Amino acid sequence: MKNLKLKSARAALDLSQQDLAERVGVSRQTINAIEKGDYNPTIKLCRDICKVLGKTLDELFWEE
Amino acid sequence: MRKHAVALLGLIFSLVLIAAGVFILSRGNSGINWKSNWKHELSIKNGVFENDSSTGNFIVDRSGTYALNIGWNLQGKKNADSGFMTGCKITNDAGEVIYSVGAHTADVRTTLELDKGNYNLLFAYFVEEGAAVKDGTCTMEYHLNVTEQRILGTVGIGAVLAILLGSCLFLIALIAIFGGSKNGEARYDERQKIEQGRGYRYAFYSILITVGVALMLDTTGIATGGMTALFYTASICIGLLVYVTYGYWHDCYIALNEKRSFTVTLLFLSGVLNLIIGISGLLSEGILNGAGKMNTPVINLLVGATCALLAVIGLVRFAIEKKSDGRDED
Repeated sequence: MKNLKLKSARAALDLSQQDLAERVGVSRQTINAIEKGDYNPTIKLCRDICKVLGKTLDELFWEE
Repeated sequence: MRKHAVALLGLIFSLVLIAAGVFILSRGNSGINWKSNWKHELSIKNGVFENDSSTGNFIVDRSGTYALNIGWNLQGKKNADSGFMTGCKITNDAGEVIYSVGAHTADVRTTLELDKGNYNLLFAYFVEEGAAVKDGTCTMEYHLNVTEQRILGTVGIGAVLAILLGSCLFLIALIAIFGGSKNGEARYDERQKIEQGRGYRYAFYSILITVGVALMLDTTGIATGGMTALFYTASICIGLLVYVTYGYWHDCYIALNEKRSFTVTLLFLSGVLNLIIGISGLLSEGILNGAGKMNTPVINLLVGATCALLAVIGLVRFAIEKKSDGRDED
């Protein structure tokens, strides 16, 4: 399932996938896979992404 | 620090292995080598040789296989223009002829199984029919080389393996001590590690299947003439192709702190080098050797083609990546 919350949070900060990947310390394809719903990140990676985007886990990764 | 200490121990151990291997080989292969050179003056009167033979000899200390190189040259003239032929006969202590040859040829090479003992060479000269041989004297120079051919036994093979293993360990130890990326160890993110696992699994299954096919071809006799080595190498190459291609396509082959161009360049150079060795080897030796077995340059060609193909796949993937750089994929 696509993670549109992550995509919009990233876009709100005007960050490309590459920018977010570099800040989190992963590859661009990993961010892309998370946004497309092709990959479920570990809790550690979720927290790292949340820190960079300034959001909580619920705001980015909780399924409605 | 601990890692360097282990690497240093490995370096010392590898040097010991190499030294031991070289020592064993040098002791085991110190074969007999007999060399001699001499001259003989031939005198011809009224078209007949006055002293029509020359002798030489050599001693063999132990039975075995020996490579003989016998040569004769007429001073100041070509053998073929001399008007006479030279015959050479080798006899043992019992007077039995073990080898004979007659020709203008200046250089004879042969391999003989010789027992321990003395061997004599007798050179004789025959005027060719219809040839005009001038009266006078001429000088014939002779050379004789007898070299023992030692075949590697179990100990010899062990020594060669020790040298090979020692060399590999030496390289690994050197890389461990002096090598490594300036950016530290290769870093992969969690998704890349998972994808690598999948890639390894697919490559493992491919190798299993292809080795199975190779075994079947080998046991049924369909693969003959040294082709078994080719099929097993092909299995490894297929496994490599599967893993690296999967890695490129799922972005898990290149580490986060590695340059893409380095890997592609390395693969390209390996491919080109192996292709050059393979093509030049095939041009000089052909596909099959005299015994009908496949020559090893064919394997170089296979490995070179694999590396070159992987370099091309890498370039294609990177070209696609570059196009999408700066644009998010949807």
